[in-house]
Amino acid sequence: MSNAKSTSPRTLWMMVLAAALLLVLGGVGVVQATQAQLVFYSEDYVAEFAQTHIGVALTENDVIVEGDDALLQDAGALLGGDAQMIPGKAYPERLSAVNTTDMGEYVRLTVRKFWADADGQKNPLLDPALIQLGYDDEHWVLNPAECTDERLVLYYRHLLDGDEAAAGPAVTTIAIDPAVATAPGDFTDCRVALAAQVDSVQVNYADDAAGSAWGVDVEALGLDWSEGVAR
Amino acid sequence: MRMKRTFLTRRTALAVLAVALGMGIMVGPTLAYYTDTTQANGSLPFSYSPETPPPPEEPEEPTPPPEEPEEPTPPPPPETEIREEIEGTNKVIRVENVGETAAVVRVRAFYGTANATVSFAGDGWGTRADGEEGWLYCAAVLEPGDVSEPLYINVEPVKNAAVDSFDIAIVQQCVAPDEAAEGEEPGSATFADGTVVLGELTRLAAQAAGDEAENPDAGDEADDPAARLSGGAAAAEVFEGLAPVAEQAADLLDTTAPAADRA
Repeated sequence: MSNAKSTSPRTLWMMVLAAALLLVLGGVGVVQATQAQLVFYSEDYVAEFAQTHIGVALTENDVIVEGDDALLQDAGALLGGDAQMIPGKAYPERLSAVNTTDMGEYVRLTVRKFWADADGQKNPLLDPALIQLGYDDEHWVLNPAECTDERLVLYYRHLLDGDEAAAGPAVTTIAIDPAVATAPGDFTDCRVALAAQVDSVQVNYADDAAGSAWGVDVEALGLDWSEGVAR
Repeated sequence: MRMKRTFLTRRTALAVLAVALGMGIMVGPTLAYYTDTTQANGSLPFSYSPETPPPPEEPEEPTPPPEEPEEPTPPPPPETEIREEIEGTNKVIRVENVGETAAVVRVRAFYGTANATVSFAGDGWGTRADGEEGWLYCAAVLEPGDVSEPLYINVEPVKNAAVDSFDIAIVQQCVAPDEAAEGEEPGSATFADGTVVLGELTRLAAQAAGDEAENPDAGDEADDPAARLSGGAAAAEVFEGLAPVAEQAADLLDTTAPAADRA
């Protein structure tokens, strides 16, 4: 133990100073490295990327509509000056479809009609058959198997090409049956409600697609959905 | 060693088969098609109660009523005028059709019976065969402008009667003749109290030749009742059936005469 050299105070101070110097230099180095990363840019890289999809939109009186409280909102235009719908009088209400993409597709339109309470809640006690919808059977085919007093399902006969609107509206008019005068139920404060949905399927294997997605045999409806097919 | 290799081969085959079955089952559901859907909804207020019936529907455009065939305008009613001439104590009655349509005429005389007897003559006139009393019918249909045959009313004063005047009131009526079948002349007419068939009339006797002679002084004598009574000719025939009730004349005008003239 007597041979052991003790560290002199000078040496100790030198070591502390060296450590402090290394700490400072290290900090400066990190900062420089970080700044170097911030100013580094890689070269621009542009890749061609396209996602294939089809799109369809619902139109009411030639205006695209979507979502809640989107239909029957322009009462003034619909009623043409009447205070409300007059039973027995047909009012123009054109519901149709438009292709919103550049790919062709086949479409169908499902419309549900029902009575609602004043607050908009569906009232199942009032007969939906009293709401009458006129439809166009020139460009659309009604599928009676899917239709009820509350629902109409119409299939567009032709291919709806990219960015193309249907040649004619599926639903053309809406009216209240005059039998509302003797129908059971309280019609003193209610609403005439519509819910419309437009569906589309791809062009290739459209009949198979309709069968898979909708469960419908379009050939049985007399439809030839083979236009524009690249098989 | 052989047994172990066989066991491994069988186990591998089972594994491959299981994978193949799994893929076969999964391939169907994993087939997908491009589809899209969009929906919207909305409602409109409506109110109806029995107390407030719905407004009337738009009136349909009125369809013009079918054109009704124009009804032929009925011919104007016949018009006649009576002409009376005084011949001594007698009257000669003629009726002229002054209208635009044919006419059948009849006349009736009202007079007293206490001071004179009255008879009628003229083969252009007659009475109904069914016994109707009072009316004398012209046997011919008078076309516009025609004048009937004369009807002679012969008055003969009762002997020793103190008479200074004698009045005879004449009522005449005219109607249009009934429509006849094509090609036939009208032969009947319907008055208010019945239909007369002209061909079935009981004709009066013709006026005696002496009585028909014109009396140039007749007009002057007519102004003198005494002369009229004193110069009376003999009656050719007396119709007892004529009702000599003067009061009936006025009533008759009101009840049975569609187009009556009082002479």
